[in-house]
Amino acid sequence: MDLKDKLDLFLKSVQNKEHIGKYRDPQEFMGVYQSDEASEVYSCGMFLFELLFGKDFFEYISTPSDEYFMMADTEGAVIERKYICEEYAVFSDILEKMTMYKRENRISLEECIQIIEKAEKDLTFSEKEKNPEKSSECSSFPYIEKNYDYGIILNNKRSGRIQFVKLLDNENGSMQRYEIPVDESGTFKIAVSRRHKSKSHITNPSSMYGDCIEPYALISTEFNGFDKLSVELKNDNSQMSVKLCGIDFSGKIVCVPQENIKFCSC
Amino acid sequence: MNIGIDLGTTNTIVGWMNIFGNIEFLKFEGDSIILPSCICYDRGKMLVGSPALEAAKSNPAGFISTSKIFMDDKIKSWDIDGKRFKAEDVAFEILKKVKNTLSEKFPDVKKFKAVVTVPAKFGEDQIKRTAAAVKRAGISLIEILKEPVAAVLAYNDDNFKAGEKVYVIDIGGGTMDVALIELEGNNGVTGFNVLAADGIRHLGGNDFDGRISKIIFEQFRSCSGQNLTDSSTVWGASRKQIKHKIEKISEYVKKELYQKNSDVTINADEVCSICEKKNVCQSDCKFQLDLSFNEYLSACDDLYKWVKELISNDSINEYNIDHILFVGGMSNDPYIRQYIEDTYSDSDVICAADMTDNEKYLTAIARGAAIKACDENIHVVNKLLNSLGIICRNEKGKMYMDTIIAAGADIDENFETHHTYTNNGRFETEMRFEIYEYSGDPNDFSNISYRKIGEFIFNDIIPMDRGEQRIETIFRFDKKGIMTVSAEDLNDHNRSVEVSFEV
Ligand SMILES: Nc1ncnc2c1ncn2[C@@H]1O[C@H](COP(=O)(O)OP(=O)(O)OP(=O)(O)O)[C@@H](O)[C@H]1O
Ligand SMILES: [Mg+2]
Repeated sequence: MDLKDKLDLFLKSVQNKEHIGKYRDPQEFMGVYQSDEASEVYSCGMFLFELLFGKDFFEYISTPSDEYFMMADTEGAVIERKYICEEYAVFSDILEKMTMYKRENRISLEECIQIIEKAEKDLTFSEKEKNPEKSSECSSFPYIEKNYDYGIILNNKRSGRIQFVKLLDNENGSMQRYEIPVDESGTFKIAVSRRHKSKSHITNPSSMYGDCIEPYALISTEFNGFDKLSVELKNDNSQMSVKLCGIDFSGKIVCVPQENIKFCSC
Repeated sequence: MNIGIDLGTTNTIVGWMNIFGNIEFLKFEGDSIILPSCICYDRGKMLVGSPALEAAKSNPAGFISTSKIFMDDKIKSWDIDGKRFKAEDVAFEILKKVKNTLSEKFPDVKKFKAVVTVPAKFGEDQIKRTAAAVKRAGISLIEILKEPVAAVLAYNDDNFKAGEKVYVIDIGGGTMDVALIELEGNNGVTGFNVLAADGIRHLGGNDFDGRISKIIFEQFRSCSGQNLTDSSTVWGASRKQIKHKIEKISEYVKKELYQKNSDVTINADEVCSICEKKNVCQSDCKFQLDLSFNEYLSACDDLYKWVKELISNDSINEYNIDHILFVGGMSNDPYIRQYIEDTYSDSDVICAADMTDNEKYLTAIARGAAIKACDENIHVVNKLLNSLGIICRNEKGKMYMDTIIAAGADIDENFETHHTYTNNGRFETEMRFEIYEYSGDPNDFSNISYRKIGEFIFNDIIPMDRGEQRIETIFRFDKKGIMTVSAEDLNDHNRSVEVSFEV
């Protein structure tokens, strides 16, 4: 579950009041007060912590709750900032405010939901902003759709201007192999894009019309001592699979084992 | 990281190519890819782009816009709160903002290298100043690209074929360019050869806005008796604010006119706030502008005449034109568009304004610059548009323009030209060369118009009597598209120096 899912889950269960009474606050614990909105806030705070860290707070700090409450600073918060790791530092403030020892010092549930909702929105936004190049290291094979052609983006001195070369026509299943001249050894990246069938007259992804040639996946592999790289894109049960082979000067062909091809969808 | 920058009179746009070959654009305030090319120096704080536009509403005196058209003016400057700004300083501030925004988005990138566009008609001095502003802002310059060439690069898809000719008409906020470009290449067009080009440095959308402002000022004068255009009577912050407001309203009216292609009515009651006859006002302090398309056309009659003359230019009409590319914000003008379609009815006309989503029509030049910055296959051959020369005297003391490079010369990084000069005086230890841009017949000095664009000095020469010096000058264009000069003393064992060409 990623952070966005966690926050989503949090907001949903608050809405459904699922967490009420799950965690009892120190004053309730001592039997001083009955449950009210402030104790609800506390319970939410503990729940949020557990969601983020995957563990109950007291388990996390390996101190039983009664022992912890006995020693706690009654002017401060139960979840102290120092327990929050770097990754979730942005939540340390709200976690403190939600779990203040004294119930009158806690923030309201409404305020707290607002803050979490905003954090969740920002997250959606920043994820969208990410550069496709950076979202690497995922190896699932993305689904391919019928109305699209799939191909690679060529940018090579010997091949002319930057161009989309269609390798897989997903309607009739026809495929083409393409050989790319290789100048250097090392990591080799191949950009795979897709283009809607209605836009087949457009081949330059950089032109004013070129945004219809959409990023689809980035393939990378280690590659040494070859003159050319042959690329094939295949429809493997509606998922894409790639065949990469190296061709050396003598024409000998050596194919790259599937496990050495990294595939990253966009 | 390689980027392309369209440093426009009105709008600045920055793009780059990602690994999928798509062009992405830098976002500024409000998530907009358009950075308004203006600054506001507001109480010691420098604001650039939309914050500057915002600040200008309350502080119009600190506001500078459309400064690019003064890039050829050595003297023009704006004084704000004791600080002096020239056109290149404004360009610098805009580019600095670009650089900072890039650094925020790409914190790991150490160096941004840019292709920067300029109007086709920009002189060598304007190019040098632009390049200097880029450098000052901490961006390294790959090259200067002419705007119409960038436009063709942006539209270069399968519709363009090698051997075809594209006629670009670019009317932006402050400048207008036309260029005829021949396409070359084998597998996809990669060569761009400028066959003919021309332009007007000081004609663009702003001038049309200005005519609407004039109508509004006139209407205001006739009902209030106050003349807002007279700078000696326009004093005080609120009047300046209203003047600024009217300029903004005019641009809005122009956009409305173009979109509707018919009459426009707008209310601008805010201008009444400074009216001195409010107490006796008969129209209830309401200010309404009714402008018909025809009234607008006749107010801009001379501007349109100029535009049409440049479009149907003789040096271009002799060619067979396959495509016409009408770009720039003014491609929204239905009147000019109609004129182009009527004049070139046999050609395929592409009008940038047809791409309405996300103001895409404004991005063509930046896109072309980004492509040039990232696609190394592309080769451009430019035409020199402004003849360059040195003013000399013959034996009889008569002045003439000695041509260094005549307009129309093909310019790329292999270009060079040699000229040898001698001394007029006696026993000098240095010789000074002043370079002019001129038009007209170089042999008919009285009928020539010229403008000094720079000078260089060759010093430490062996003093000699009149006519005995032999200094050879060599003019080249470097990879960046910038003119450089070196000189050789042919009497002094060919002592050769790079001279600094100062603009
Ligand atoms: N939708 C529109 N309708 C009418 N005019 C428009 C529209 N959009 C922009 N313009 C006008 O286009 C001009 C700006 O165009 P553009 O962005 O191409 O100029 P620029 O590149 O900044 O200037 P230049 O190329 O002269 O340096 C302004 O005068 C603006 O009023
Ligand atoms: Mg422009």
